[in-house]
Amino acid sequence: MSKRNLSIRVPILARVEGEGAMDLDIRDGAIEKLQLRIYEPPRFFEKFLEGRAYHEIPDVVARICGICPVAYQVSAVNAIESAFNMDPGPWVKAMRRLIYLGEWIESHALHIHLLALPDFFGYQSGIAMAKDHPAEVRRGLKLQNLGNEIMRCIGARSVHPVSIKVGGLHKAPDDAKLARLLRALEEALPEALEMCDWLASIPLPDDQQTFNCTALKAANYAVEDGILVSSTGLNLKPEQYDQHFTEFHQPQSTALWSHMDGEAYLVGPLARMNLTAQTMPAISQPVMHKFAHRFPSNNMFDSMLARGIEIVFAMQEAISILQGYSRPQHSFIESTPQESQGQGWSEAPRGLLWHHYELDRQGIVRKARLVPPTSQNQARIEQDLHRSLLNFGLDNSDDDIRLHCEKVIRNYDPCISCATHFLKLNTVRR
Amino acid sequence: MKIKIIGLGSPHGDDQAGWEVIRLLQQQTLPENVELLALDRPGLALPNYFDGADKVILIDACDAGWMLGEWQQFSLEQLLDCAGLQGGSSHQLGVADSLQLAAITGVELPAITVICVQIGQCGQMEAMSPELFTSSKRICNNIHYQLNYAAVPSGI
Repeated sequence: MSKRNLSIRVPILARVEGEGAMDLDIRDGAIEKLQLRIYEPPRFFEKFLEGRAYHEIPDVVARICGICPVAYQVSAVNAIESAFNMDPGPWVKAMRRLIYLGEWIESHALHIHLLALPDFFGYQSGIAMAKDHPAEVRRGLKLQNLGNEIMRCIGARSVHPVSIKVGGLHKAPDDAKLARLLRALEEALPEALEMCDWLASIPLPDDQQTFNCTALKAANYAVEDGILVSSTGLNLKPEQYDQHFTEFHQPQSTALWSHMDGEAYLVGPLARMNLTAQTMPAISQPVMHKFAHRFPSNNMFDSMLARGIEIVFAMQEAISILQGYSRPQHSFIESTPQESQGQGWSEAPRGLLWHHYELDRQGIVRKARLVPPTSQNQARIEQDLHRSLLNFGLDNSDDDIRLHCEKVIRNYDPCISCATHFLKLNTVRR
Repeated sequence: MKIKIIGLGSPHGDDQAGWEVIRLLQQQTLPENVELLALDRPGLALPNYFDGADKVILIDACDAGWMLGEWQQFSLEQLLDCAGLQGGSSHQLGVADSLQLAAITGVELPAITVICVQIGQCGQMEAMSPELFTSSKRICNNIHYQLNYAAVPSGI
């Protein structure tokens, strides 16, 4: 290996959500500095929530992200309902799961086809890739639109939906719209399976690494709730999260980092598949079983196939919920605020999203904490960059090294705008 | 023939120009076959709003180095020839990206005219520049005239 010196600065990372950069310094043939730098200004959402009434929270937190607003809404209502000792019942849970599945489909299809895949085929953008693979990209956009349609049917609109409230849904969705949605999902399911076949056939870099995984687990593949499990043996309820997970500042990031028992960890589709694939009904079916041997995987680039499989699962699950749909007498239960605190979580498309609220007796938020998936993945992304670049080889050309690093980062589907929600301010008074 | 007129924008400064044109058109008497829509940064979903339309007129802000408030009308082909494509995150996908992607992947598009208006400041929740109010009136008058008195001319 040559003992060369090299500095690579990627001032604006393309094809990620939000504003981030990457700095790499190689000295005498060894990595001296390799950082994912998040410079998007903090957005102070936790402070905005203080003084707001509990019933306003689902609409405020939805604004954190245009790609995964449902994740924020569901984690919030889970936390508040836990604080108020409420159980909204199976119909509400099924509807929340359904709209959440729409968000998974929409988010995953977008990431696969426009953000991640161009890296694997050597294109600058999804648009450039579409010129050579029009049918595949059109199929991806169709699936993405179907995810949006689920969100529109349940949530009245696909971006920042407005149906979710503490105790249930403001209104039961329209039966005729749901019937049309069911037909559309059934018709499109074979195309999602074809997409999985295609994704599984794409050659990936051989990049084996060991890393910690964390995900929620439920009887039927966790989406809207579950118990936290990890590759290190954790088995936690939401209120135990703080005992093992710590947030801290790093100078290169306006988003907080997070460690699990002092170590970096992965959340998101690959972590879910690695830890809980056996709970996914879709994976045991003959058409999907051929992908099962790929998981658990130590190759982070298998995240793309994990997203594809989760799209198929989400469509099958949505079909199942819609087939069993019946209109309830009431779409929500009344809530009674009380002085309390509550924690709740769910599996956002990009991974675990934990919320904690302290409320006074009128149900006004006195303190809020939100821990989004991209924050949690930051330490893991930098760990991956180091290991993956060493596996790739520092003797490669500058352009190839830069591209490889960008590919590693994009593979996590980082949502930087979600992550930069909070900045701890240390004020010195003289 | 069903015509959809779609104003694109956001609540930020001059980026409201497309919405302002729609607001002004809503105060006019228009033929029954015309539908007005104001959309907030629809991104890749833009072509979904074309459903049922034979003709679509889009009004959007642009930064083309023209004089503040200057506006020009393009066919889809002209727009795709001259527009700089973003191709970045989904936050950055513009009208040209969305239409380009639809065209490449074989989505059936109606006849599309895009009216682009040069904007200046787009500060968060700022008011629109006076020049853009003037341009919006002129664009509205032009669309109104062509819809009512011209026999669907070449541009619109």
